[in-house]
Amino acid sequence: MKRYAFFPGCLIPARHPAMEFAIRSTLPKLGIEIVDLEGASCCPDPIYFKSKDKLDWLAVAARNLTLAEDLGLDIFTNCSGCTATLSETYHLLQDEELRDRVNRRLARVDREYRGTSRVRHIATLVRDEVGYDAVRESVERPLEGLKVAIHYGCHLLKPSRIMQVDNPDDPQVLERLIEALGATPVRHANWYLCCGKACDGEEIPNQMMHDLLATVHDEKADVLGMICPTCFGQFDHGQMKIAKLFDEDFHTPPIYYFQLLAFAQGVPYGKLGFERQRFKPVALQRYEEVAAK
Amino acid sequence: MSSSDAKDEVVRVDFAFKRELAKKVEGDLANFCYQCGACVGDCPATRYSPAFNPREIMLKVLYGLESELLGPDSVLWQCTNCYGCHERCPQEVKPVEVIISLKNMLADRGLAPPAADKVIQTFMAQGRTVPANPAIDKQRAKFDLPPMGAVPMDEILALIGPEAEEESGS
Amino acid sequence: MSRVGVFVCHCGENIARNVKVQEVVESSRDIPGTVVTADYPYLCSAPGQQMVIDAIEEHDLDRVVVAACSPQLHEPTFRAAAAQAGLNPHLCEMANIREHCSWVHRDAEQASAKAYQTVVAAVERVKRSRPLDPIEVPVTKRALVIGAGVAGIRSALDMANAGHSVVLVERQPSIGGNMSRLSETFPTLDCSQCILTPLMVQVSRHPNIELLTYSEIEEVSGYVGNFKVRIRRKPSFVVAEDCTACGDCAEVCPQPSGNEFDMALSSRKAIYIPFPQAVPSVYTLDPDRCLNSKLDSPTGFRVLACVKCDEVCKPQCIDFDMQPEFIEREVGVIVAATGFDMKLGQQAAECGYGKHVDVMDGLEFERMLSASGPTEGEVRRPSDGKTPKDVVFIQCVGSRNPEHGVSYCSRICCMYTAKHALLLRHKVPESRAYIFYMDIRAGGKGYEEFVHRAMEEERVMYIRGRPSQIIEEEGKLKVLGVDTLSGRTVEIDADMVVLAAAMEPADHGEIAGKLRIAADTDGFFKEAHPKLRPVETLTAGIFLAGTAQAPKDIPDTVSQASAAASKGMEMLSKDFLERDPSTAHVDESACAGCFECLAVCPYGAIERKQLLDAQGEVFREVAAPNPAMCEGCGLCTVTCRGGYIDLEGYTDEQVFAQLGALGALREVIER
Repeated sequence: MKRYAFFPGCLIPARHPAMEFAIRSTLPKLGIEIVDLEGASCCPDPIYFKSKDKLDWLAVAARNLTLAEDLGLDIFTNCSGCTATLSETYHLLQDEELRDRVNRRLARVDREYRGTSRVRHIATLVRDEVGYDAVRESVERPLEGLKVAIHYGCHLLKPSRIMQVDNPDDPQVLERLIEALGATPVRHANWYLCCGKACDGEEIPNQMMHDLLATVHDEKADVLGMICPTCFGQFDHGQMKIAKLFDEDFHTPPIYYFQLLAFAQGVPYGKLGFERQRFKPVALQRYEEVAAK
Repeated sequence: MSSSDAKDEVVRVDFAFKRELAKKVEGDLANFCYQCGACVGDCPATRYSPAFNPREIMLKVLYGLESELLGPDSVLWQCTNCYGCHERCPQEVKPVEVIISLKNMLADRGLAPPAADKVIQTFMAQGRTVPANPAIDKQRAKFDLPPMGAVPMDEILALIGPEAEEESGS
Repeated sequence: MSRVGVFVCHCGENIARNVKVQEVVESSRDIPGTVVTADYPYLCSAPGQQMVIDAIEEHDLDRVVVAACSPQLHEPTFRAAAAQAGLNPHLCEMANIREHCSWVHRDAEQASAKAYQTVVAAVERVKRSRPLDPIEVPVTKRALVIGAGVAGIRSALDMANAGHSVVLVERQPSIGGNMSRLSETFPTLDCSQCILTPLMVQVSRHPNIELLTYSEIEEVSGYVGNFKVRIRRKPSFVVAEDCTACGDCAEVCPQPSGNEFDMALSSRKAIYIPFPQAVPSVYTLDPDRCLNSKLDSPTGFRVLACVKCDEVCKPQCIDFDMQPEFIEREVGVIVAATGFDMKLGQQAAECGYGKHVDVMDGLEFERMLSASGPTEGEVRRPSDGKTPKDVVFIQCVGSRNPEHGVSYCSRICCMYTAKHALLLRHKVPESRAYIFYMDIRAGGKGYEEFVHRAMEEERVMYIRGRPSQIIEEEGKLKVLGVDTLSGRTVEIDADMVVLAAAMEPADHGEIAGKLRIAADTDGFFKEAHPKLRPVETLTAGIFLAGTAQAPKDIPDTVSQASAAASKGMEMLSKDFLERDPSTAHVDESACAGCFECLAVCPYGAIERKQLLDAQGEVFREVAAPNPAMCEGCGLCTVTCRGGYIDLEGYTDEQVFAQLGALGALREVIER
């Protein structure tokens, strides 16, 4: 078992426990041992908290990283926002002057940032440390015929030099991860668009999401697969708004990748918390029926 | 943000504003901007709101046009934080980071939008931006997940806010 | 006691603005040994130099210090003046109070104090200088030119026409370089082939030129006037003297390959001639593509799988057993003209290059425009062969992009993109051409007018901005960009996209290493001085021409090639060359013969010398620097453990005195 410190962030444990459950049940099957980080705070949020004061933001983020450094482990994240904050902090603090400034803050609580723990997004952790083949082998019910539209979101890929996840103009990692489940990934025309969540206001994000969902709908995908809980919230809760606002019902259930993986690994549909979604991925149920027969 | 008559005025470079911005982390990067526009073509915010244009924002930063950049209801908050401009920029200007530095200045002036204030308040109270509550812990229990642990707030709060020597410069 | 004169230059305001010249002059009077001090607004001017000469004669000076600019710039000037007054030039020393003082310090007090210190140090140094005489070396009257693109061809022809013999080496099977790929040339739209191929023929027929194609430089040793060059002629498996270029062999050859000359837009056979006008007009067998190569051993084809070419060759010139040939030549001077490649960096990938076949680079489009190219000059989309209607040209792809490419401007892209758009409009009148640009840099004779012609006569649409993304959509390439002048976003559904990729040097340190010349951070060969010695290198006898030195267009390339040739001829026209005597000297009585110096010498200038005793027996081996090869870099002097090597003009005594005067090593000196 390879050991990694788990940084769950806020949104998943406090709003989507089903996702956390899925991660905790799938990773050990792939040979990853999850080590919890005691005393972790919000990453903190790369949108509003960072907008208030970048140095406060760096100091709190660096503190979170020191928790993993104390354990001597690399850290993995399950939310693109946390990945953005922690990866950027790791990158920025390679600058000695900035590191000194941040360490002066950390000295107030007897901590020191050393830069010894790398930050990995859970998708890259699975890709690089587990491998697509091992994911495929862990699948008990292949999701053959399931069309999964892909939404990468922004912070997983960009800025690529800092995130070091994939080519932002032609990413592959989610497609390959979906394929490993036996499902068919679908790249829709507006695949590169942002979900709009971080944009303050109503009009722009609504229009953005509408256009994105429209091209997903064109592909007649069963679900919209993603890896970021913020985007997930936009597409679940937000899709209701869009339906009303534009009087168009795209009805595309969003799904977090690790819930889909858990389902493919045999966790029953009813145990994955789908009932709390506004748009439920009912297309999955047919695989359960097949298995029952 | 830019009123039509503002465009007719003679531009005067405001160095004091630029110095203030340069004190923010990565606030001085706009100096390398050569206005090529690579940040604009696939900017999702520009696509839906032409008033938001990262290249024009960088130009105003170069001049230091405080009145057009910093005000109530600033267009800066329309940025989706997608980091596309950071990816495209040939000069490593990182427009999104310059915009966030400008937002830091807005926050200093008490001009952050309510949504931002709310996030900060939640964080300062709980150390999280999404609060934990008993209902959540009940839900978590259904998944055999332990209750959410407390964040050591004394430690977190001690990190926030500059020291005297930071205030004076550096 | 020495009689030193100190002369301080104002350099107009360059020095005087920040250094109080008068104070420096006054206080310099008290430096021991100084008998006269003076200042002048421009010491390098004729009256300034005359002032120095007169002072030497009038005051019977035996040492001179000129406090002015960098010795790189004017040391030769003032040493020549000293020589005119009858003083050994090496008894004249520069104190750099411009680059080291006035230009880099804001505070006038500090700059002046430092200027004075610099003068004191120079006086202490020059008091310990010895008269030195230049070293004379004989000259081999032959030149080597590396690379036979238009630069190498021009250099070789200039020297050959002046009566010097020239060895011209080209690694490709044909000479002509990148220019032979071009369709028409800006701003006159001359056909590239029409102006280049006659020169190529002249080269092949010139009695003074020895042309070695398909050959690479293996090793260069020796020194200015006396280089020894080892050249490896790759086996072409075709006996060149017998080949009639009839083409029968290629016709029957079963093995196709992409033709590099056409940027792989067309195909050739394993046995091929790169293009019909190739010089020499002979076929070459590509050992990497020939069917026999799979059965190959490193020393030629052992077992033959296919002999079709051999069967049809009437002059019987196929030789499967041909071996590499090693040719050694002695030459006096070398011109490096190794040219450029297109660099397709990360930004080209962002634009979809390599993913969409309808996204091409400038050289590929150039081949498409060429009448002798893969489409015989017709513009066609590579994907479906259709004539494109909307073509987007993007400038500065990779150039001026330190983040994803190179930081420099490639200089030719603005012009060739205008030419491409204009030629597209000529060839496909119903087409529309869009150019995304950041600046239009049309600085050249007739260049601005040419760009205007593209805009006005051909209505080429210039859009100021760098596109962000290209998306393939329903068979079209959607280009997302912005017009930064109006601030509006622009979307163009293009049929084809042409990228003006950056130029990068073709040599990646290999030739530079063999020639022992420097390259800059981008890999371009470094000139000795950008203004005063733009075609020379710091290694004497090696000159630069063309895009190997920096990105440039054809007129500049040809001008530089002629300049390099004339610099080369300046040396070839002499029987002996004079070299700077600042070379290493070994104290033979003390040298222990460890030869650490030999290991560090980058010029291979140190030899082993045997010392004989009275009976004629070898009793010791010592290091002996060859003054003709030594460049005076000083590496050996600091490597020698015993300190038994000194550099003339930079002896330990001089350098320590100089440092001592600056206060840094006062203690050492006193001890």
